[in-house]
Amino acid sequence: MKFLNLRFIFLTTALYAVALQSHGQAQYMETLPETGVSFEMVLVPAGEFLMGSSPTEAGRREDEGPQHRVFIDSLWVGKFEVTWDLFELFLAENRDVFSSLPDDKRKLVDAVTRPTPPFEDPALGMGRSGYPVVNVSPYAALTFCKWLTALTGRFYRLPTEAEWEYVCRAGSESAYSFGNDPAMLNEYAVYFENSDGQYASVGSKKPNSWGIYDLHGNVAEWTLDHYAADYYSTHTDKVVRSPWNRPVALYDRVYRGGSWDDDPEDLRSAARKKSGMFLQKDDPQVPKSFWWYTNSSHIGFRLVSPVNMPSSEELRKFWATVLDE
Amino acid sequence: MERRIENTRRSFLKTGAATIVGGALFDVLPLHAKPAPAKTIKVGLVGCGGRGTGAAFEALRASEAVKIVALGDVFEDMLNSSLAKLTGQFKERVDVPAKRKFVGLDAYVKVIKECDVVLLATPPPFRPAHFEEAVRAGKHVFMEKPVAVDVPGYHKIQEIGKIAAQKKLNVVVGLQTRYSQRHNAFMEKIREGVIGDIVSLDVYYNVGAPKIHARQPGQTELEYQLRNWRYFNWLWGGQLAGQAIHQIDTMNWLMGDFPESASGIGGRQSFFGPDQGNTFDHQYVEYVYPNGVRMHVQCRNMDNCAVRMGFYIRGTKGYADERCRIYSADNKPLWRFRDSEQSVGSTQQEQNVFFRAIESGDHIDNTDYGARSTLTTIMGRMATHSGQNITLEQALGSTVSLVPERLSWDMRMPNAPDENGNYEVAIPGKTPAF
Repeated sequence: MKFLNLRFIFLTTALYAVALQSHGQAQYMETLPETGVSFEMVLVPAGEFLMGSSPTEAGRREDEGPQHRVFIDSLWVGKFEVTWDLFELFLAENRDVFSSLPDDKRKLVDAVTRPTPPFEDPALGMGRSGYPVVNVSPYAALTFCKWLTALTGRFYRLPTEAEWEYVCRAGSESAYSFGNDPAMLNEYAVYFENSDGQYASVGSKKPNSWGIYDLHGNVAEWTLDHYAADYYSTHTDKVVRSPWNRPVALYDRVYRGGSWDDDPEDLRSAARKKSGMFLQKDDPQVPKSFWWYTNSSHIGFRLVSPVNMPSSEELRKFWATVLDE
Repeated sequence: MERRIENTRRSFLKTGAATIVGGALFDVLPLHAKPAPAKTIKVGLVGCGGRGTGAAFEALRASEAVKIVALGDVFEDMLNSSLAKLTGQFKERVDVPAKRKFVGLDAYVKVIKECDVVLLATPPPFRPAHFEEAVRAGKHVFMEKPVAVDVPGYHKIQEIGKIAAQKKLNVVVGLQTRYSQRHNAFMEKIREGVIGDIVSLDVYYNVGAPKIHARQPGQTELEYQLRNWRYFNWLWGGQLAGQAIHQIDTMNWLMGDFPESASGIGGRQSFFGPDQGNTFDHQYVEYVYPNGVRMHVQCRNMDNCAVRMGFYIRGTKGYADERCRIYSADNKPLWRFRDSEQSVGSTQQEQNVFFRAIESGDHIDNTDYGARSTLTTIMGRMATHSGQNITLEQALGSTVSLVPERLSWDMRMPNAPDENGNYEVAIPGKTPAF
């Protein structure tokens, strides 16, 4: 695989980034200017996989079929779920942190709308530093990606639902990336039985075979896709290339992977969940917040970055689509 | 584990939430599954801020029969912004022409005349007078917490509550935790004795400072204070009444009783100058219930500090927290509630229950606990402001009213600023409790 050649290459993003290796996958670390806050991205090779679950899989639901073959381009994937350390830099109150950036970059960064902190502690006392960000809307997660893209010069976004499952499976076709036995979940996932009612620090359990952590459990993860129960049956190609069901409304969005509050069957690689008003049911504001969800302390997100960067025009179109700009 | 049998999402799907704690309180039927309304329920809103507007939305969602027919506020901009939001989402069911938009200090009287049900959501010093007007006019009442800021206000609410009960009027108070499915299941569990006898309660309401609305040219002092009501004791009741009341009331609910004494400390460490009124920014109160159990309440309104809104309930065999998790004394998880994907939020639930009672002819009345939990917070403020130990009996004898008898825009204010623009702040040891 040619991507492994990246192992010792200094990546030429605008910021400090260094190539490392783990679990046989190339990876790099991106460190944000002025802060020392960094995050790691792991290279996932392009490939084909069988998406969805077979009708015989225990706990399987209708919307996980029919199984179909999908091709995914190579992409960089967050080794961990996005943490509060990283997300908090995006809040309006931390605008000044980046004031010493060169003018052209600062203007780009400042042009992105940023949320003010909510009235209540969005971490609900479950911990911040080293813990995954939660209670954010898909809009907030995507605007964060746009901000991070402006800051780093590298395109970051949420994974599509198909990319997410591809990364989660890491070549497996079983219920979980490690096999079919839920009894082994304790080694790989933070879920209802072992979570003590809250999320854990990212990376507290074993990674999948591509070296990526917490895909099963800890916090479920937003994807780019609109939820449609019958979406898989709409494909006609023998191998579907990079499918993406583009959002048409605020709800329902797909989130994946299950969480600290879920049972084993919701943690399966193929299990799909959809958002809805229930994730904002305790928000007393009118209108309800675009940024913060009051009832999604079990949902966070993970970054991906395509290996082939889009053109600036493609990028503009992408933000216009996903942020309804 | 036991929780898996009775308390998973799957069992909610199968059996419906009502089986958990019984009754129609947690009916999860969607609106469209309910029978069509027999007749229109005319609803008026007094106090068009964020909470009042939210309550109006929840009323509209609670029953198809609801129509918003009148709005009242002291500020026209607040009223118009509320109306725009309501009309934006419920065009057909918001019927508030110019003649039923009431602006001014007496707007509540006019709103109440126009409706069958009134939502009272102004700052709390006006609640007793608004409640009185509504009940005398024979209207069902939803009123926000707290229901008063002083003891005369408390007595007035209780007195009017009795008349409301005689008239079989429904009264719901905005202490929504009592309508939360999760908390009801949790209370049930604790009452079953999983953590033994309650020995102590810790309450936290540590959050940021209220927003400051800058003084505008031409504003009268009353207008300025109303725009910044969370910085004035007479308008907000202080943080115990304005915010910590949610957790305090939850503890009173758990105990099935109300504290009989309070002592405490507090002050202003980060609030300063003419922009931040006269409230304390931190307080600690130790309350004692009649059975000797102590409730320790800490609250703080300071930015950039650790945030917590919650509690620990400590028992002889274990403890529980605000996330409805129950542990044994040696920290083993015993039980926890899992959220249902179908259930609505508790502020919506309280309106659902309210309008269901109105439509079905049932009678629901939250006045007593709403008033008495308000009194708990007033007693706490008396203790922290005066530095004295206050008994419930002493508190009940207080005749100090924080609310002027007659309000007018150019009135002499109960707490006018001094020549430097500063307001008089309570000093423990000097400020009298009564």
